[in-house]
Amino acid sequence: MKLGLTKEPGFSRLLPLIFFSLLLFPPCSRAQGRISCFPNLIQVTTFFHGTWVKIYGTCPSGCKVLVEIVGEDAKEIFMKKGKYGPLWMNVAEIRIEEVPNLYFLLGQAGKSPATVSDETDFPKGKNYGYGQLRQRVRISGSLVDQRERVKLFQEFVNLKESESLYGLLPNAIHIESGSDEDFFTGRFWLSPKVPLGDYEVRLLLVTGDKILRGDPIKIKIVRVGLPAMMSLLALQHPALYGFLAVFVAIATGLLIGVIFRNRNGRH
Amino acid sequence: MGLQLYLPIAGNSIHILFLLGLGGLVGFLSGLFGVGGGFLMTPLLIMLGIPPTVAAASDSNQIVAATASGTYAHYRLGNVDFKMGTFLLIGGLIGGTLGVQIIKILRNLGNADFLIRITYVVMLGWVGTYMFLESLQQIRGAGRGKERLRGRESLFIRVYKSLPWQMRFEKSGVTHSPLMPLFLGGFVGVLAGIMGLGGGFIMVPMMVYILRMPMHVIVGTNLFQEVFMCSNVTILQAILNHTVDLLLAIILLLGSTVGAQAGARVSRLLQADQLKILLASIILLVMLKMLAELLFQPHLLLNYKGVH
Repeated sequence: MKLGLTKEPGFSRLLPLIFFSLLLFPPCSRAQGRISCFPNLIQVTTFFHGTWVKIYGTCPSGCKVLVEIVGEDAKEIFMKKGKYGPLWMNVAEIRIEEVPNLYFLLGQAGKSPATVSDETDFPKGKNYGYGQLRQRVRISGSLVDQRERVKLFQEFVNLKESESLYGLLPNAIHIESGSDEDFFTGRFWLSPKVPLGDYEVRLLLVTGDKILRGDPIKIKIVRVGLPAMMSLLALQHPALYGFLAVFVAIATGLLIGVIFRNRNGRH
Repeated sequence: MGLQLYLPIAGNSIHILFLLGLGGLVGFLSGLFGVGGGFLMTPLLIMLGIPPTVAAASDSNQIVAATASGTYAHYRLGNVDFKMGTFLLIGGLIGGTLGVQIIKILRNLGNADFLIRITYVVMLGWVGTYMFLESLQQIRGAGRGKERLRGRESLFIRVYKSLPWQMRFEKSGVTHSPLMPLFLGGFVGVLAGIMGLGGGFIMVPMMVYILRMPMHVIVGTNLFQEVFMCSNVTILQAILNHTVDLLLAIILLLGSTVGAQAGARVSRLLQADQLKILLASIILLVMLKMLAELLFQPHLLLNYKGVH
């Protein structure tokens, strides 16, 4: 069997480059980790109340593991609350775009949940976490200055966290050492308020100052059964849906009226 | 956990027993006090995390069921003044349509939820205070309040006797211009469109003190016009705002219709003034809770615009 590689005229010139690459990046830096999750298709059914998603995989020994769960970029319009006279009310429209509709960052166990913050619990200055989102977010509307922009981003994060759509979870990943590589497991909660669509689960391997990203995997969230049918009807055939709602209400009301009249009659 | 119900329009999940319990509680109060439960249901749904616009529209839908059931019972007893009810209904339909359009415009401006809250505070404050004071007077045995009330009624009578097209409403035994029920129906209809309720807690006092109808006919006639008015509001909310959650409405009405039957039985054990002052206290507590939300800094200073 011929080794055709050696016959390639330019290959010998690439050998020093490959050699230096191996020296510069130890095995961990080559993003050898793998990640999977279960379930990766989430069906929003009549009794859906959110779900745990398990993640698991392997990584080179000695690497620190981070996992990002990132939704699609969304442009959302918000109302900023302010004081108008003695009353708190909506005072200005704010558009926030180029940030995901869902974002979780999962870190390794060993940190207290009370100190959850991307600045304290995760390596600083890296290309992930709220800091990274803050850098790329576009906020427009009635803004006063840069300080207002930072404050609004924090309010945006607070709102998303209150809906369990954003979160920094430093204790979510557990590592077990193996002979050649480490095994990690973890999980995160998807609330019933999660928007439909595709989500990426990204593996980040940290060693020293370097971070490499593995190939992301996808999670899909779809409505099925009754919720899918009802939202389709409500949005695409609103008049039919409205009449159906009234018909069902009148029929149920009359039926219950008849049932109780009969019961009262018997007693 | 398996009994958590996903509400596709509200986009949230709530335990089915919690919803049945809420419907049952409001229905129980409704049966106990003889008024519709919409004015309590919508704020309670908002407190549970249902978006205000969805809470108001879905509440309208569940009121259709409750009032249909009540109208059927009163129709069998001969307690429905269809002529008066029709004029109230025409006014209500116009007012309801106007109310839904107002909400649509305000949703685009981002102030719909604020308007719902402020309207609630004003209406609950007014009705709660009025009922509380009137019941207190009656418990203390003061007859002077009633005399003052009669004095005010006579002023109203003089005003609307001067209105054109006076006609006789045989079932109620009163003579009025149709403009009066049209106007009252329209006023309550606007509130129903904005607040997502049948308006019974406003309409019933108006029928007593302004239209001077007998109490047994008032309840049946009010229920009759509410069926159609809330149906109209439900259809308009579904078409214009996509805010009717049928699943939420069905669970609520199952609870409320059963609760109403239980409440009606318990009400026979209590005195009328005790019931009224209890209801007034509940209304005022709900009002104070909503007022506090308007007066004190909210936990979150950013909110979705018109999203449910």
